[in-house]
Amino acid sequence: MSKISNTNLNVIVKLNSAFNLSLPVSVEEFLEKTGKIFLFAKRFFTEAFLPPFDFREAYKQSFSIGYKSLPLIGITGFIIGFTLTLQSIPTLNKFGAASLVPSMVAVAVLREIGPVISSLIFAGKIGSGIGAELGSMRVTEQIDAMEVSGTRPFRYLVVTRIIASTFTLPLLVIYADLIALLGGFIAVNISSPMNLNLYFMSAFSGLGFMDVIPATIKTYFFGFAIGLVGCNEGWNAARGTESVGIAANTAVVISSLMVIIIDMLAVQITSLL
Amino acid sequence: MNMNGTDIALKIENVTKAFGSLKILKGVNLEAKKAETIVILGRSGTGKSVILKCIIGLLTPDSGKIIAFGMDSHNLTKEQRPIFRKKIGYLFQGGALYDSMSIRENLEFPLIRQEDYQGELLTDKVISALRSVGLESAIDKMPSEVSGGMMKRIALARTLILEPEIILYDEPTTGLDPFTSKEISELIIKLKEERKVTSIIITHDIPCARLVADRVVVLKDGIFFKQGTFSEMESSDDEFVRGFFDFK
Ligand SMILES: Nc1ncnc2c1ncn2[C@@H]1O[C@H](COP(=O)(O)OP(=O)(O)OP(=O)(O)O)[C@@H](O)[C@H]1O
Ligand SMILES: [Mg+2]
Repeated sequence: MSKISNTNLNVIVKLNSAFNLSLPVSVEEFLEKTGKIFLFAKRFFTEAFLPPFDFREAYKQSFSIGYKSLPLIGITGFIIGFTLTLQSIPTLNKFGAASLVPSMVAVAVLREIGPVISSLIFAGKIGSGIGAELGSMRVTEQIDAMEVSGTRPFRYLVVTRIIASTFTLPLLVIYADLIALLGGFIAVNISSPMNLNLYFMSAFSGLGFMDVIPATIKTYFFGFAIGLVGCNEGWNAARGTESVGIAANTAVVISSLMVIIIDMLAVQITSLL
Repeated sequence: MNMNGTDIALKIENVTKAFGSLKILKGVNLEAKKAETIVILGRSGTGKSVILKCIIGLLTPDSGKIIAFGMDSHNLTKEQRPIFRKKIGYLFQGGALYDSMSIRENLEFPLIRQEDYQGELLTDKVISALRSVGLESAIDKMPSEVSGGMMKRIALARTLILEPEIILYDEPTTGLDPFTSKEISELIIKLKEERKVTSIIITHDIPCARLVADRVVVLKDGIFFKQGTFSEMESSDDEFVRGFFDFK
């Protein structure tokens, strides 16, 4: 491996070997890796807008990515809405504001918790899946085989997957948000019966465009980052079968971090508006 | 395409390649005439696959030149690249079948993406390529459902389907029984006779080499240090060269 300078972070070296990762262990390596991701993104943008386009494959990937994530993201969404509501009721009751529970939960879920938690789960499931799939294609020379038969593997494998994850994640987040609100509805009904119409009316009453639009826009960035990182790790996997696991694990760690960092930036930016 | 009136299909000039401090190729030279079949012998891990990957452009040599059809394999223009890719076929050592696609889709893939074949013509091509390796019956299986030797033959069919003029074979018969291995050797000869295909073949399969080779070259210490016809090499006075031929 590359030489470890004084600036190395011992913790990361240990993490790498304990969890089968390839996180950068020195400042140089960090800069190198960052540079590589930017080059990879640049290649994506140059190839994505040049015909011929692989519409069918992009559609197929979107469908499979979305379909695979539905159960897990649905369950998580439900639990988030349910528990958040249950936990808020006693507190808001104390202030005599129990009627605000639906709208408080809606704001929390739609603005922050729904997008972030769904994206983290998406990173764990889809980011690692893409890393492992492309990594194993790299290791078994399938990508090379596509290259030498002139079949433009970068477009077929990478461009389609990044597009799929960019456009599928926002839909999944909307779906998770709705299920979370349903979970909230059930939780509310445990303590005091409330009808569905009334619940949704009071949930949406506190919501403005500025709650929904920025939160939706940022999920496109989350989806892009997760697809990009997963593809980058898999596409650039090293030789040898152990690289497949390393690609998958590293993809999860880096893309989850990216989600959190992008979220932080997004919150800063929206607070300026 | 004719290079200065000669009929040389492929020319490798002084190619060197190192990985880090490990020098693998130290000046490889080779000329292959059109319709010639050249067998490369050499010990495991000495860089045979690396040579083929340099020819096809998957690896870039540190120095030296590779010229095929008058095109420099590492300085291709945008227009030349697809032509070059189509004219040279590569059979990977591990087969490299696309494991998420059925055998049919594996073979269709290069045709659809490179040449826009469709419908019945596509199916006919796929079936006839599979027939040439004796595996029509596997058409609707997945790669995970066929044996290692079958994968190798399917990979060969996938290479043949684009009708390349130069074919690079990385151990085409390894893992096959003697009968199938002989069939593959005969297929290689047929391609040479019917379509004037130039072949570079890495193999440890001496019966196969005996059948197909017009010329045998031996890789040692990063260069082709001996070459000649099969019988010349078999009776070579160099002990290392003879070592490939006798098993006693
Ligand atoms: N992409 C690469 N990066 C680093 N090292 C490599 C790479 N490709 C090959 N090597 C090294 O180059 C050497 C030659 O490899 P190569 O695959 O050409 O061997 P070979 O002669 O084909 O052997 P075999 O008969 O076992 O297939 C090996 O030591 C291998 O580890
Ligand atoms: Mg090899």
